[in-house]
Amino acid sequence: MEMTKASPDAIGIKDGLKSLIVERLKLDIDPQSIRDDAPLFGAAEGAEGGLSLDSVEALEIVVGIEEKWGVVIQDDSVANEFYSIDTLSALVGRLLTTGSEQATPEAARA
Amino acid sequence: MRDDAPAAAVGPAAEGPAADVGGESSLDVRGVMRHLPHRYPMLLVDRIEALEPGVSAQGVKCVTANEPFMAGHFPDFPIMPGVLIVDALAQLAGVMLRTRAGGTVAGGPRSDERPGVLAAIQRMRFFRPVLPGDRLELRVRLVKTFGGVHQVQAEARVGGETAAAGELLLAS
Repeated sequence: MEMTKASPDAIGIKDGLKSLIVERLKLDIDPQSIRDDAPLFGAAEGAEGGLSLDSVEALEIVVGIEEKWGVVIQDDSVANEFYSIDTLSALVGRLLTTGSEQATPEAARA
Repeated sequence: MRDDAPAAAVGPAAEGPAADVGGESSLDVRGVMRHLPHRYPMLLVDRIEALEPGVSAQGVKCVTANEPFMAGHFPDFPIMPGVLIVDALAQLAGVMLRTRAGGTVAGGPRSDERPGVLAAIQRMRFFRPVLPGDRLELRVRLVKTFGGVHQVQAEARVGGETAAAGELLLAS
């Protein structure tokens, strides 16, 4: 069992997520301007670098992630990992190692 | 949900598990109205011929020259507005979602709550006109649900030919 902590391609996943989000949602921003720890969704007050995305855009990101990395994201099982680039990349990293199985939360926090 | 009803075995041929909507796998217009708040002139599903709650549905809208929208669309050339084809598909999708167990759109059958609302119409294309006399065959299939948003593949055909096809997002 390999832990995903600081996995070698974590940076690649984060960059991939940022460009995926900008491209699929047709955002007029530089992907690199998205901060790794900024909340992506909702109107988080004073969230610097936050995008205030909505639930329709969340679904668009889900579909994009599934297409890009060939994983399956189950409905809502991972909803609280839809928070920031950091949490999303941990989710993608975990799905890539566990397949489409619902992964254990421990794996992500290892 | 009647366990003693034999109807479950009589579902659409060669389909998987028969729909169980109080024993119904098809709905006449009164059945449709139990699941939708839409009424004249906006009830755009006349009948549901196959229903697998939360999975897929097939329905029918028979288009006539007497549709109220034909008076203005257009006086000299009656043709069903594309957005109403889309709404017919969305209504069918609403029934598909509302009838599923623990459905998030309105919490199950025969609810008076609002159905899912259209959140997006994506990649919808219109391939042929829909005219008086046409029997619009509606098909919807749930692709994915995430965060209370349902992604639905939708197609409307006339005589087996695609009239419109695309994707709808419905929100709870």
